[in-house]
Amino acid sequence: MRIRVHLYPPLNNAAGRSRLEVVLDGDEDSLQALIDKMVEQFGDQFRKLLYDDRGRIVAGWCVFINQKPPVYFNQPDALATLLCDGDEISFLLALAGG
Amino acid sequence: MAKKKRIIYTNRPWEATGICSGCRLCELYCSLQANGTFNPYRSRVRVVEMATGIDIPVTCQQCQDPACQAACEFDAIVFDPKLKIVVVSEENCTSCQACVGACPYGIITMDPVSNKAIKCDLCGDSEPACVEICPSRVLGALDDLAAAEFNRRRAAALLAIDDELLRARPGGEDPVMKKLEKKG
Amino acid sequence: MKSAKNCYAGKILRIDLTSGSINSEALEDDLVGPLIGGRGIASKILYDEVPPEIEPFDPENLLIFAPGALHGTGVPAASRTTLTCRSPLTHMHGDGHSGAQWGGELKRAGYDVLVIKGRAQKPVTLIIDDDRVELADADRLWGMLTSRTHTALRDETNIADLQTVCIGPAGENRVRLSAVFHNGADKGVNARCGMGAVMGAKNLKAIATRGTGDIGVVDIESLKAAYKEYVEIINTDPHPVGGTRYGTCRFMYHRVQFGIHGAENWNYGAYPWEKLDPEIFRSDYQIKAGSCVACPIRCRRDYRVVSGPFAGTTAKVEWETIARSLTCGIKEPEGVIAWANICNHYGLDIEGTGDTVAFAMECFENGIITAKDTDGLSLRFGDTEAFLEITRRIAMREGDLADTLAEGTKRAAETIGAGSERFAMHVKGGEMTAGDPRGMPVRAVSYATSTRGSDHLRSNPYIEEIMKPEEALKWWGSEEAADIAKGLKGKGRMLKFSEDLVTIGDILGLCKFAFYRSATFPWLYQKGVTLATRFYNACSGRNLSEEEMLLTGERVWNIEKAYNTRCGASRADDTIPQRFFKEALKGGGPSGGTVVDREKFEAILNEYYEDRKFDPQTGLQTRAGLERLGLNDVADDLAARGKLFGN
Repeated sequence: MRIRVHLYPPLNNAAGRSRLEVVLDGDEDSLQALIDKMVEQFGDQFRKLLYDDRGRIVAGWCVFINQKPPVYFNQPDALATLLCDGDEISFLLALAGG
Repeated sequence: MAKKKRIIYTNRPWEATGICSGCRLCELYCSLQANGTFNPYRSRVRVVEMATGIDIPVTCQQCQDPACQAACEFDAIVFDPKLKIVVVSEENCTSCQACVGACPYGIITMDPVSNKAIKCDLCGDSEPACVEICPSRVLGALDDLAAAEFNRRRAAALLAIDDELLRARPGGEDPVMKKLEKKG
Repeated sequence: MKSAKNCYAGKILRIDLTSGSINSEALEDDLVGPLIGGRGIASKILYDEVPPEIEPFDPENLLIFAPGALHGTGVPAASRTTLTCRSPLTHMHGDGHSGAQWGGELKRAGYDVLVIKGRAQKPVTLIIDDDRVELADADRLWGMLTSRTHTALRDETNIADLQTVCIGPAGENRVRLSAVFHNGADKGVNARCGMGAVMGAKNLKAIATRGTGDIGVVDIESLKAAYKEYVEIINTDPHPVGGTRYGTCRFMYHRVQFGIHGAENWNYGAYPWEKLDPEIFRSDYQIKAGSCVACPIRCRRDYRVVSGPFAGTTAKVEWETIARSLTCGIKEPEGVIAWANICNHYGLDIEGTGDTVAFAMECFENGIITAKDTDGLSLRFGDTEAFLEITRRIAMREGDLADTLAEGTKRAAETIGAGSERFAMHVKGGEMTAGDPRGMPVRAVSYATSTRGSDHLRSNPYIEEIMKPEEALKWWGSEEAADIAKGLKGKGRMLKFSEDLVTIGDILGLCKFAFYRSATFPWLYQKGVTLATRFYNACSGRNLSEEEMLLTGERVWNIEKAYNTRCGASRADDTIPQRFFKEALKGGGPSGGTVVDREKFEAILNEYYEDRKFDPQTGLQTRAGLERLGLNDVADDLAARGKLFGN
């Protein structure tokens, strides 16, 4: 399936772009799979922005899936969220602005 | 048959946002409901600020044997059979303040604009404004059975985390508490 | 006591401390119409009545207290009160905004604005108790901490709900880093710009207020409808949701993600922050999640230390407290809480104080200040004991060094000399705030253009972080405005918009975290412009359009800009410390190695000036630009002083 991804700062800097399309194969259909694919593509700098030393997604990131209310990564099943072909997903640093 | 209700501080101290935040939206919207204006001094629920970080909303307990009614010599505090609570009759109120002095909760007060006694009337027929507006959902309009259930749950929680809560009190000067201590 | 139909009290209270006179006058339409309230009205009164011939410590300088137009109503988070004066720190326009209840109390007593002029012969308290206004002797209060002052006043007046405003010893000692505190140490502050010192110079120790009158609302149904929509947004918008969970501590994650701490006097972008994790503050130190008056978000925090050398210490701590502690190299919560406690009780602004101490630390680390100067204090980054002790000395002006530092970073560097200017981090004399601007061009320019010295709250420098390219195209004419690192076109226009936007908040008395920060631009606009306008119209009975509301923000900004120009500011002052241009950000991390690109900075500034209708060369305002806003009198005044472009 094809997922349209929008990356907000600073992820977009690490990826070199704000908008991209990610193709997930076969039985990859979760948010975790999408993240894994992007980490694979964009490397360490990208991974370090998302994950802390203990391998958890840093508090502060959330995703909007098709404009619906955001999924926070500290919610228990966040990473297992299932995606559909054509979904539009924004990765947003929720805690900006001081 | 409708049961008598009262507004209870239904705090959930086991939740970070389950206690009164001190925002005083209840005071503002109580007065809006009663008078169409914003004025905490005309509110029938009053938030008392104690030491740093402690805010407690004090509400009329709709006593079975109201001290305010007993103190009134002008028939200005009357029983409302529908709500099953006493309410103030403005026409009869002479502003003598006997009820204000008698209430053990200090929650029947003098309205500074009308100069009449005011107390919680559960917003009459509608959903109590304070319950509706409270962002922390710590005010509830409960009848006696519901209140008992809540109290039991809260007692259990307090027993469970009692020490932690007491340690959480930062101490420091509270002028009201000091005065009460002096009174002995 | 008064009854009101709309949200205005209808009067200005004027106090002359020299003569002791007390007068009130009607709040006229010529102020309310174009300026609405709060910071809007205060800035105009300052412009009209405190010309540059009046120095900040002269008796003729004014203290103008102006609660936002919606303060005291049930509009959510309508809790802010502006204090305005000529700043002894920047020598230009000064103001600060507090989130405490006092402003509403002033309105309930019958006054939308309180203007204080003159100087009392001996310390006084101004008492406003509904209709009774008088000046009382404050000899026995002079010298008291902010906390004690508040409880003493409540005791003496026997008014349990008394709302107060006061200064601590720092204000009394005319420390240019001092602030004005509401209801003691931990409720709210009018901070920045050294305003506590002006109050101290006037011998005004405190203002004690009770007001029991009504504040009205014209259209209750509209108010409630807008409230409902507002609540829907804040329950979903990740920005306020994060505020409820962590308080303003949450900005730590932002600084970490971008690597822009400003640690060790704005040298390091990435820094050991882990002990200051918001989760740790929440689990180990939090007393509870509190609220400013009328706010449903609950982002204020009081913390206490349970064990160790600072056991028993409590303090209200906000993000900038933690940020400025990092600026001084402090990496753990107990030092932060203990420092906040000192600043709050002695009456210091943590922003300016933190930067000034950091300045002194860098001087010490580089041998410009020695142990002899510090009387033995090891004034190094990260030394908690020195951090606390020098702060206390600054409040008390104890010793030559502290006396020098009490003048603020800019003056301290001028006095100390020896190349220390390189370490003085301020804009127009106002010390640095928020995060490091290297790598973030709009943020950099926003610090430079703020009308009260470096300030992130004067605009929304984060707006470029939440814009989608198509939104940037629609609003600022170019997609690249949404690209932080590489974009340029449209950023100046974006900055102007964000400044006008948040100015609305200060005019209405709305908290910026509640209305002027968001995770998406549509929500930001919906809260900060659409709902704000609807709330105001419902409470006031007026019928402003959203464009008119934004124009009001622009109008007020222009008054402050004109004030600063009159005080001698020009384009040359719309800049940021050289460090940001010349020294690459240390410490690695996401922004490591960056500088503020000078060309980009100037290009954004040019576009900004153009959009604001200022002359790009000089930064001067134009007659056309001012008259478009109805500020003909300001244009005339500037022209007469040779400070209007083309005149």
